[in-house]
Amino acid sequence: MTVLEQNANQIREPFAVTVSMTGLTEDELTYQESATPKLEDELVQPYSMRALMDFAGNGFPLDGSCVPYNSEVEESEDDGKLGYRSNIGEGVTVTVTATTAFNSLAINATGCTITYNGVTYTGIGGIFTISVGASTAVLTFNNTSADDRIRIQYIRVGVSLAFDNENLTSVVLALRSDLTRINPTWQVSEIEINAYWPDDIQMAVANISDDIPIMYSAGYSGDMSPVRYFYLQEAQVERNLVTLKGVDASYKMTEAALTPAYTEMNDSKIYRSLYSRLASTITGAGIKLLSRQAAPPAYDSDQDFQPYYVAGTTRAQYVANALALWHVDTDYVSFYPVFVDAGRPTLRWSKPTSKWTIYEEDCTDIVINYDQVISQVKVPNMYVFCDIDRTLIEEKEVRRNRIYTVSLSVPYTSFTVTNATILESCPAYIRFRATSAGVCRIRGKRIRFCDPSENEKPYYTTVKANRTGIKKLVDMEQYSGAVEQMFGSVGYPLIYFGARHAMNESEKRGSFHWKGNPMMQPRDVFTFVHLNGSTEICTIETIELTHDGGGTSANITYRVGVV
Amino acid sequence: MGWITPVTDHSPSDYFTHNDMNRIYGNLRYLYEILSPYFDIDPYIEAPAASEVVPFVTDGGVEIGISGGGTLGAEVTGTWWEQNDIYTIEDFGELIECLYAIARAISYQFGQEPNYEATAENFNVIESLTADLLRYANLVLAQFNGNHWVGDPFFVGDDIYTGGLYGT
Repeated sequence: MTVLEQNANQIREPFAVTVSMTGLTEDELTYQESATPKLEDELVQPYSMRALMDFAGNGFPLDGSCVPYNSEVEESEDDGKLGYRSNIGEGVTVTVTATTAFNSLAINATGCTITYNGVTYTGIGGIFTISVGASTAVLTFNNTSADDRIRIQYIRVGVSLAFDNENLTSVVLALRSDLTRINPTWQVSEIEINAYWPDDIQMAVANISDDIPIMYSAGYSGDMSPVRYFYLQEAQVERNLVTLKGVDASYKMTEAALTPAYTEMNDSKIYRSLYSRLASTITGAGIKLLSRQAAPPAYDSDQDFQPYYVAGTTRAQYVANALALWHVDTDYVSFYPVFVDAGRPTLRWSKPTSKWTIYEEDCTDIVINYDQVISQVKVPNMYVFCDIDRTLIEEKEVRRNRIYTVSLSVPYTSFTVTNATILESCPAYIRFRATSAGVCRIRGKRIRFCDPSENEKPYYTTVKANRTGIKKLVDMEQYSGAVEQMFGSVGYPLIYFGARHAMNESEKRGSFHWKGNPMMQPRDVFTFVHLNGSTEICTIETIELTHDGGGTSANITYRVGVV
Repeated sequence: MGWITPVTDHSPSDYFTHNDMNRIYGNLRYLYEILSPYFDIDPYIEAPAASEVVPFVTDGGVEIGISGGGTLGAEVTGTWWEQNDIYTIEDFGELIECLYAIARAISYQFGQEPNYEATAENFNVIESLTADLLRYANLVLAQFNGNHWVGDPFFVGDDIYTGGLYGT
């Protein structure tokens, strides 16, 4: 049973939805057990439990997931672990001790309930969170089956929750991108979970820290969506009802500044260089790319170098501008840099093709807007370069071994500082340590922005499209900061192509309500089949996917074309 | 323990229990019982993968051993595996060696070779091999029990035995 098969039916089987959240601290615990296990290695690492050819319970599945026990294979992330495996029918008491008091324990154990302080915890799916508030806890693991064993994966200080259809009240995913060409902003995706939890975890949740990963997946057994990762921003518990709110990793880009930079890029590898810079801007914010397309090829053997200047901004704004302006689609070059997070940070550059088909007859609340009709683009036509020779920027009185930071009112590069060691530099500032008392002379090459006549004032080129009807002039200066990032001899063709691209599409946008597919995400391209049989290629801008009341639905906004 | 018809249609969604494993071990024991009076079952030849594993431990020609959940002794009705057991790589090696040791004793060539994977396909192979070994063993034993011994067994096809037995 697949999502696509089920979506083709009038009535669809409910999706399986799983959400889990595990936040473990590094607090060291010691363990003392009351019984001799059948097998055991360690209880610290949250590695997955190695699936063994174990006859306990119903035996082991013949699907190839299990391996014979090999005492020479040690626990590891790749090979998994043994954890604690009791003899069948046996329970065990584990005394856990830390050097300081801890708020709660996160436990992953199957085949048991856990009794602590006279209260028995049932957990969900082998996941337990037990409020403690002491430095020692005596946990009694009660075996719930006479012919199966308790398997304890880990006992750690922290919080662990897991939900599925049985206990989820609702899950709402708001997966977002911004496909506008004018002043784009980075859109962070969000998740909100409402669920029932059987045990009292008020104290544990009250002390929960932000940024704990929340993992979400939906679909059917054998066709589940890839796990999407969000990071906890807010958690509440009222009686047994838990509300969790999280955001995708891209929120880190909104908080991370991008320092100005000046570089020179090889003409033939310009798209490789830009792609690499885009990737490093994203990963530099602390985002781990789960999927990254290999860099684009060099386009010729030209060895000319072009200067490139990046203005100071946030990483999120830089990425938003790049995705809006860098698209190039000519007979010679196709460069469609796209970064999507939505819980699965993905970076690619090749032009996407239609991935999904949606039939208008399956949709409701269809709205179509004509917006952003761009017919002319006013492009600042400028060059960026740096002087050949260094000039004196400042003479600074210094004391030996002191560290100094000098801010620059105009951008420089290629610094030298006499009697000092440069620690850090960028066009906006330089930081150095004086090696002797006296005067440090700071020199650098001035970065200049000017038109070909070098009067240091940009002139503008207006690019026009041959079209009738509503016209709108887009002044690229509206990209505050963006223009500065892009211009220069490198920026010139980029803006030019980007502007042409902007004129040719994305003027038609729409929205509809649909049954939803958890595999879809923003910037996916789909074929929209209309009632009269005509088709349009569209790009998803946002999806709000709601699992509620046993069903799933989606509100989708899109733009026509491959945006 | 007598012969139990091998299960050769395991599917990936099936679960394999200690009873299934006991069936395989019991059938191997059964093969040993009927063949050992006539053949030396050499445990040491051409081990397929596991090293230093002795699947058949002979003691004065009486005892046969398959270590693991239990030792297969002279008592034919033993139970080798219990629900509390966990199958090991060494156990798997011994099982595979047992199959090969019996096959070598009666000069039987496996068409498919077992491996160390816990898959339906592999256990179908293993149980099919035990069934093949019994069929071939019965043919070979028929030769030993024939009126005229004319030489080594000569097996040329699936069920066609042309070794010159039963000649008159």
